[in-house]
Amino acid sequence: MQIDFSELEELLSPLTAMCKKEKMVNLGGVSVTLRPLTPIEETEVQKMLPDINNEAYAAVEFADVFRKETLSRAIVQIGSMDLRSVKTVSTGQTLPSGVEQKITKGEAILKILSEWSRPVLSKVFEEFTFLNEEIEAEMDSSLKLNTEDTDAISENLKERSEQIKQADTLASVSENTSNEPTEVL
Amino acid sequence: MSQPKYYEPLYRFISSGGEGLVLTCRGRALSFRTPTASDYQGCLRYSASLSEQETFLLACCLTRVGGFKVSEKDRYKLYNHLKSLPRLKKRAMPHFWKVVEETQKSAEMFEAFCYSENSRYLWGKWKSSSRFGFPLEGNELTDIHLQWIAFNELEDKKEDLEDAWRRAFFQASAMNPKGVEKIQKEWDKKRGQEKRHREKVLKLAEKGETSTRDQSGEKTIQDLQTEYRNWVDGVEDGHDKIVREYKENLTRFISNGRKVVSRQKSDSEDMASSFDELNSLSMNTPLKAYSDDEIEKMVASGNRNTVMFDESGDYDEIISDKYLTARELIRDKSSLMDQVAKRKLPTIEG
Repeated sequence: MQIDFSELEELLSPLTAMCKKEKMVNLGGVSVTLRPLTPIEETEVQKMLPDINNEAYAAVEFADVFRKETLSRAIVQIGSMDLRSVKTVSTGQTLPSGVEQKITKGEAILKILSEWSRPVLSKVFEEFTFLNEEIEAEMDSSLKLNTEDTDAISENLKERSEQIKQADTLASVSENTSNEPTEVL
Repeated sequence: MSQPKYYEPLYRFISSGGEGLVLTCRGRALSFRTPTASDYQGCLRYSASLSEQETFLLACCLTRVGGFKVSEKDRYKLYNHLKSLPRLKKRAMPHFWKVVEETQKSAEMFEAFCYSENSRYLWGKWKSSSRFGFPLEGNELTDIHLQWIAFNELEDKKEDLEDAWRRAFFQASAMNPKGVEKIQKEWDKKRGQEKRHREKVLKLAEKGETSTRDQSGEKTIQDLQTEYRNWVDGVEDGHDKIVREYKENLTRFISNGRKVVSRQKSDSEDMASSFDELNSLSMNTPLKAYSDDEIEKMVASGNRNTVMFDESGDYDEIISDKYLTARELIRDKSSLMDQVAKRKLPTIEG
């Protein structure tokens, strides 16, 4: 029995709901909704990072860029503003030609994030790490496979623990800005 | 857990239509088949990014969701949907490759599986299903399926020939027992060799080993060049290794499978030729009348399109000397009317 794509989407919905899980964080009355990054977005973040061996960058600077670049892609809603299907955002200014000036959604969020204090950024990033771990934990309990690859399971657990450690390191760097960049990640 | 029998993984694989990874999420099963060589080529043509290649493979190989068949026309939409579920891809992919690896490992027992009764039973089931229009359990033909089908079709042909040969042998031996003896001996020898080879392969398979008879230890210049280049370039990464091993295993399986099928083909061709030879001795062969000229030509050239008789057979020699190699008597070559004309007229004797 064959089905069409909308039916297929419906059949895949339990899996979709689990993988596309979002998390709402309340920041003093403003709610921010986060989602996990796609592999392409993860690569984009890596490309935006300053050279870790460049001594001109302080460890905290490196940590800030990493968090901001990640969150600019992870935030899908701020308050009542839904950014899920938005690609560009108007700056509210107009060009001399009379055309409305627009920037990409990522740039817009990045501008907002650069005005946030470091503890706030740190808190939101921590929630983002928890979201990823929640998805992984849910997958652990909900996904059953017809094969058992212990190497893959241990690799997955190792990666997850690395990510949690990474988030801890970033948080500690924010508290103590004297660390060297090489000690960050 | 006890080790499965050598034929079990392939039996399951073929009967399920090449089913690979089965992932169940909150009770809903997603069945993926193992990728074929064309899926692999397709993913390389689609993108240079590893992540996109792997998503492509998942989209290509997802056959059923909750028991419902995924339509071919939805593959691209499915690809985009799976792309938006990165966690799933990340979690499923290592297991997907693991199942592929296990399938390739079980494919090493392909020859032994083909010789097992389980394979013939499954083949019979397949044929019955298609003859009576029942849906088959699986509907995807992987490389393993294609090789297995080719082998079994030739095995069927061999069985038919064997059957026909037995009948022809019975008839021919009644006419000329010594003439069929040589063919019978060759036939039995070949059958014995094949039987011994199959027994050996099955015995090795029971121990978990494969026959190395057809594997060449020689490396080609190209192999050596590749090996050298890899060595100079340094160690390949994990993905390169997976992809390379997958490609190599697939190529090795196809080449080994082809060897099994081609041996099967040449066996049945040999059987067919000896069957023709045998038929020429039997009563089934239509009789052909040779003219005197034709016989003289055949005798002179020593090239006769007939069965060679046993040299030690006295009877054959007598027959041959008398009818085939004897000098022809010079006869009157004049026409029948001339001969009639030359006849003496009858006289009335008083």
